Amino acid sequence: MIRVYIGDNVNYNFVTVDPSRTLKSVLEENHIDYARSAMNLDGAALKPGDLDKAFTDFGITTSCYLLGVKKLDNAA
Amino acid sequence: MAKIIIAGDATVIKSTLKLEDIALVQKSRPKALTVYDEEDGKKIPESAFTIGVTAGKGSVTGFGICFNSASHDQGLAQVTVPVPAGEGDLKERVAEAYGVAVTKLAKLEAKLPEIISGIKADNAAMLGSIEMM
Repeated sequence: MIRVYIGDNVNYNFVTVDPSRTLKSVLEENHIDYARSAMNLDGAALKPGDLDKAFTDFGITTSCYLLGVKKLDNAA
Repeated sequence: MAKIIIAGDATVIKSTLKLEDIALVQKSRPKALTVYDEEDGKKIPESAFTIGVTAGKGSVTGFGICFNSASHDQGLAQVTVPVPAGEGDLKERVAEAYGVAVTKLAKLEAKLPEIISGIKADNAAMLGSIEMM
């Protein structure tokens, strides 16, 4: 099992998941809207198709941060 | 308590629970597969330790164990991981690498049999209520 810190760059929590699962399945299970923010894995921007890959495909073996970056500049 | 078996360059952690039973709990009551350390009677969220069944590669970390195979004799859940690298006594290295996980696994092995029995009883009752016309 790995620990995934999941959420956005302002507010996040952690979950424990099977590293063979895809990033998308974990995001959906935790009700994270990945369509409206730039998703980062351990600080690196994810590309189209990356969310359908497993954590093991990225070499994640213990823990990671899977966060959606919100742009808050000029937010009302 | 689970067994740790060193065979060559591999370490096998074999639970006292059956793989199919862990899979059953994972499907029906997944939260029952997590244990926490407690302080002053309160659970410490950061100490969560979870077990589960995976179709992929098994793993053992401080956060939990993913079992990916069953023993050939009794179907007990097991996972094979590499022997930790390093110098010194091999048993001590294995104990240092995987001992905490196995100790926490023992807590789950103590509480899960009752939960598994309950789920099987519920499923049997549900199955008995199905009519065919």
